[in-house]
Amino acid sequence: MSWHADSALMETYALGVLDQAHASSIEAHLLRCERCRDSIAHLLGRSRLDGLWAGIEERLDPARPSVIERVLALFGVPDHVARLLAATPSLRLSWFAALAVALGFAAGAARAGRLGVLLFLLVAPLIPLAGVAAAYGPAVDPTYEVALAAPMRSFRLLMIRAMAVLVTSTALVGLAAMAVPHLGWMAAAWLLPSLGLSTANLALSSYWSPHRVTAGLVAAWATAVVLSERLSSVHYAAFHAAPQAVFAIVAAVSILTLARRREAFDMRRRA
Amino acid sequence: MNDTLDGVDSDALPTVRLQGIEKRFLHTRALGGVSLDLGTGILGLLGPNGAGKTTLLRILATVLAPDAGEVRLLGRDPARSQDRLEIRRRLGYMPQEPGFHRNFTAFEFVDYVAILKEMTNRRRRHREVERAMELAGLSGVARKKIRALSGGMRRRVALAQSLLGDPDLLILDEPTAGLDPEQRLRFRDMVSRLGEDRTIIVSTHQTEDVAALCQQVVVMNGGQILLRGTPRDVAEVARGHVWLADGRDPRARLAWRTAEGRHRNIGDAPAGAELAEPTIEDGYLLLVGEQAFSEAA
Repeated sequence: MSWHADSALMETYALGVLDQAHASSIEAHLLRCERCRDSIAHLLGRSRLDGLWAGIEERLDPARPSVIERVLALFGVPDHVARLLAATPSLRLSWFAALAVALGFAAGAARAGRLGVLLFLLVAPLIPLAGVAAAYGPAVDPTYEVALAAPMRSFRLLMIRAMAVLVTSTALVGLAAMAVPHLGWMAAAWLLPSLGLSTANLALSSYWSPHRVTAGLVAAWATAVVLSERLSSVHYAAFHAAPQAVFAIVAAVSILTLARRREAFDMRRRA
Repeated sequence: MNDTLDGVDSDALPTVRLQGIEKRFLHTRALGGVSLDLGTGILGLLGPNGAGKTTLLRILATVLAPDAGEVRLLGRDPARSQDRLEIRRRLGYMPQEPGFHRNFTAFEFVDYVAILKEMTNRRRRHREVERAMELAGLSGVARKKIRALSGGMRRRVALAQSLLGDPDLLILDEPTAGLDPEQRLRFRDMVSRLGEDRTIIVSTHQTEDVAALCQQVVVMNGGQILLRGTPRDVAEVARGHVWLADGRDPRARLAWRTAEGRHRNIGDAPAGAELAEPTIEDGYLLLVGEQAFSEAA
């Protein structure tokens, strides 16, 4: 080897700003020339070397998506929707763990008799309600403001997350209900109240702050169940045909309200 | 005739046009009749805590609606749904306290925001995420969990998401808070290059960043604009009010010992005082008055 790479060219190459033609020429030479390899090693800064290694590592061993994203991919959910859902606070493993504990206690109580069943029926609709409340909003989503300033409509993001939370939490509560023996038709009695409360929560959140709406609905629901049980001559009065019809109407009105008020989710209402 | 950032009159539509913007939160007036026209270039927004900077930036980022006044961004009205969508497609926003999904890696987080910015094609999106991360100097930490990153690195992640899609209007709220000196220099280099062909609004407490980066400065206090001009104009406010003495002058509102061992005094200079060349920091302190003096003390 009778010649070596020009030092100015080597410095430009080491900075990563040399044009493609000269860079290829330098690389071809470096493969054959030990002396130039030694000199380029001194020219490359530590941070650039680290960056190059990180890039190689990324190509060879790409990061794996989270458990939630991998599960969603199994169900055919597109990767970009899966990533939106992975950022949902009420679709995290820690949320499901807390939910499993709450359902375990409620289902255990339901085995103990009428009051236990009533407790289970009271708690069951609140689980999807809490999940929907924790899906999106200024108090629960750390990236709320960044999401607001992005072109994707906040209402669409809210709906994607709320639907996913409703489906998963309803399925889990349904499984817990089936684990309670001798419930009969009561195993499904929480479904319409759950739908009514969750959709009402979303619709009312277009007017008032979501956490206040959620707290108000939880208090109103618990009061209604306890009072109807004490004042009525029949058991489980809050779950009979007339209240079920009311919850179906509440759900329908809430869905219509949501469609009309979707723009209200597009900007902050407070500082 | 429009007043553009670089001080050149132009018939082109300004990127930002605010007319009499007002905003109240309960009994507090956050903005009281702010008017501003901006074209291409970098504008620094200076002001003490509670001056109304963040409220103004939220209105510019289409996140908050004003109570009164007219807003035009990129020639469109953010109060209209379709216009707002078009503005957001050309907007980059880094909030003052950017939150993160801490279980995400830096790459996953920027990728998440790219999805919110309507980039659904995975390959093209990932290329854009890589470009924004490289621009923010994050290539080496793409796979690190956000919870494992330092405060300065997290701010760079927040900066990277704001650069996605090469926005025409870039709004950065306290972008240099928590950055070390080297990171701040890299930030200045990057922003000054970006500011050549777009409008960048930077809110900061760092007067030296404004002096080094911005062609224009707006000084705010109490929800109003106190001064709009060049960094030199802000410094000129303090001309004749900064003097050097061997000790702390009891007449000075603020004084500190310099590296040369003498005291730099700011306030009403006594007759015969050895006047010093004012800096943008001196002008800012005099403009915003008691609040800035108490914050600086």
